[in-house]
Amino acid sequence: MGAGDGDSNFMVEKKPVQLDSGMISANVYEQHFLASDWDPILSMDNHAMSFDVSAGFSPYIVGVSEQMPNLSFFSSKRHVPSTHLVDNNHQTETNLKWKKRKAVSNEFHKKDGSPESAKSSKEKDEKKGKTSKHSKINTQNADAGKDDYIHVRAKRGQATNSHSLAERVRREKISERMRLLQDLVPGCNKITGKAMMLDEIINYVQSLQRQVEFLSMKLAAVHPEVNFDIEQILSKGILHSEDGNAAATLGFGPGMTTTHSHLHGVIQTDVRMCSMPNSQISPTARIPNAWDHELQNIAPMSFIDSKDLNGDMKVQI
Amino acid sequence: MHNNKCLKENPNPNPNQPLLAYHFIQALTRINLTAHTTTSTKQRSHIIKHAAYVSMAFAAGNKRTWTHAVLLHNRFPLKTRFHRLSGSRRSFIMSLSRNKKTHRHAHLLRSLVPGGHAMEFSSLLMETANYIQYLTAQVRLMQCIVEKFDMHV
Repeated sequence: MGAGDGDSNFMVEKKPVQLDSGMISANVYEQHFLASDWDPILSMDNHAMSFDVSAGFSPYIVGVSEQMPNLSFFSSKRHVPSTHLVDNNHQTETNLKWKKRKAVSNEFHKKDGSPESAKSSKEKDEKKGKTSKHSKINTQNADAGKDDYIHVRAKRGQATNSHSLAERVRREKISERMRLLQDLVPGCNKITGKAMMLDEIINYVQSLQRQVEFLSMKLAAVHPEVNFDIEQILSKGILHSEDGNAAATLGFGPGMTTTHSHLHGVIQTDVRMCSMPNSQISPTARIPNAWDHELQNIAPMSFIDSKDLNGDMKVQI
Repeated sequence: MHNNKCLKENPNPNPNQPLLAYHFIQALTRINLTAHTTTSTKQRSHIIKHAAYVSMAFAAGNKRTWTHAVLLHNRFPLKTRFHRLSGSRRSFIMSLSRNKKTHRHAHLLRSLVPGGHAMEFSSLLMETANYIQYLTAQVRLMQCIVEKFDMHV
């Protein structure tokens, strides 16, 4: 890791840097860019990029006033193959703004722990074929305190204060997540705008919670009349109804009751017979112990022995 | 046919639906075993609602903030104030700008999603997304159960 921490001339904040091939090619891109259009660099604040002169290659230079002596340094970097520049040429013309919105998706995907998705989002912006997990220097305030930093570049004609950059990243993160929520909440495709979307989301969550309450009331009313075997039938029925064969299982039900004597085992074997992958069963096998503990608060009495159940095991339909 | 109501198209299929069903039905049977003679309908509905949330949180796993909040609230019903304390500085700052519309929305959302007071806005949105997924799964499950009871009775 060529972190030029000692090079204090160009460092605003000391942050770890991981330079890899992706950054080098981006650097090349930037050299071409520097030559063609000086404006974006001029319009940018001096943000931290560490500098390793000794390593022979330079990362992004973000600061303005310190850049003048370095132009010559940059021009010496032209030995990087021009094919790369040619690839990016079409993008340079069209994308003079040099927007780098991967900050949003990068951080978003970092939270999910998948570096590959960060790669796919980066390709949009930088048109590079090779990215691995990038940890770049944070250009935001030092209060972030994360280990991985996201490189943010200001758009053309926008404020370049570090605060506003941080604000912009945060806003983009929020809008990205609102778009996700838009897919989840039904009927939100036409609504745009944060306030109305939030209205819809809040209404939806409230209605869902009210539905849970209403259904639990209904269940409480119906519940004592129904027997445990019905639960067993239901567990089969519900799990099969997810696949779409509810009708078949209902006729199947009464045949099952005679073969099971243990309620706990009933549900477990029942569940195993349904079309569920084993990976979902095995964690639940040991969960019942914890589950009993969880449910202590809900059902105050302890779990009744299975012997008591056998007497009650009649199908009351 | 009644079953068709259960099988309406789910736009967000939850991968943990069988797990949810298993936990919830187990909880229901326990409740039926232990409490069906002694409690009134209203009490039982409250217990079932509580069981629904706990089984939902259980099925969702421990990686989410809202599941933490739900399970913690389940174990220690009186210690909700500790959750508020962890975000107290944030809530103080936010109370200053409560009159803005977005902040009102955010405050509402935080009060809806369990454990929402201790998070910043972007992670709150993530938690809401996950919460909505599990809530819809839970609602569908309960609708199926209720409909099957209606058919039998």
